[in-house]
Amino acid sequence: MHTEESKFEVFVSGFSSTVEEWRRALKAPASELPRLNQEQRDVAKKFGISEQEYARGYLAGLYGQERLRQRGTELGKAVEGILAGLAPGHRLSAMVAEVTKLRWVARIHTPEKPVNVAIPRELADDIVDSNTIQDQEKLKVLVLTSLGHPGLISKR
Amino acid sequence: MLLAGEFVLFQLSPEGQQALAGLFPARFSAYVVHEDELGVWILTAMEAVSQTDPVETDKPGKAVPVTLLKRQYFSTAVVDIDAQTLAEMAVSSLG
Repeated sequence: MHTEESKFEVFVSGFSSTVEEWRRALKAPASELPRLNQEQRDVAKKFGISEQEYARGYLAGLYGQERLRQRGTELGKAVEGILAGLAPGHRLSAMVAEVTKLRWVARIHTPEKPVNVAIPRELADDIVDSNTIQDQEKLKVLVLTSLGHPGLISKR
Repeated sequence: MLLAGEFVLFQLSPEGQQALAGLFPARFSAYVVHEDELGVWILTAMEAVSQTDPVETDKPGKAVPVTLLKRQYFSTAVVDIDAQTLAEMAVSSLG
C-alpha cells in the first residue's frame, strides 16, 4: 500500500472552525489555551474582551487547522493512489488547504515539471466523507486531466 | 474574505449601535456560522455554552438559534489570519 510510503506534507492556511470546535474551545480548561502574541493581546484590549475569550476563539481555529490537516492527509492518500497508476516519477509533495478559496491544492512532481492541481472543497469533502466510486472517478479525472493524461481515464 | 467559520471581533456601526442597543454592546466577539447577502449569522459564546447538549450540526431536526447581523450594522470585523493567507491575498489584490 502507498500509505506507508506517504511523504507529502499538509499545509493549512486560515483558521476556519466548526461550531462544535468553537464550543469545545469555549469549554477547554484555561491551562490548554494558546498564548497570544502582542498583536492579539492589543486587539483584545482594544475591543474590551478578555485575553482568555480571545484565546478561546483562537483555540477553535487551531482545532479547525488540525481537523483540516487530517482531512488533507486523507485526501492526499487518495491522490497518491491515482499517481501510483502512472509512470514512475510522479510524486505528491504537498497538500495545501486554501481556506479562503474553498479548495485544496495538490502539488505534484512529474518527470517533466511540478504541477498544481486545484481540488474544489466540495469534491475533497466527498472523497474524505463518502469516497464513493463516483467521487473517486471525479478526482481521477481532475488529476489526470491536470497532469495532461486524459487518455488514461477509463471509458465506461 | 469569508467570515463563516471564524471567531470574529465586531465593531458596530453607529446605525448598528442604535438598532441593536440592549442586544449587543458596541464591540463584541462572536462565531460566524454563515454569511450571505443579508449579512452574517452569528452565535455568541453565551448562546453556545448555555446549551446542555453538544451542538450537533449534522443532526437533522436539531435547532440551533443564530442571530443575523446585517452588514450595515457593523463597521469593522477583526479575524486572525495567518501569514501565508495574508501574502496570497496581497498578491491577488495586485491583480
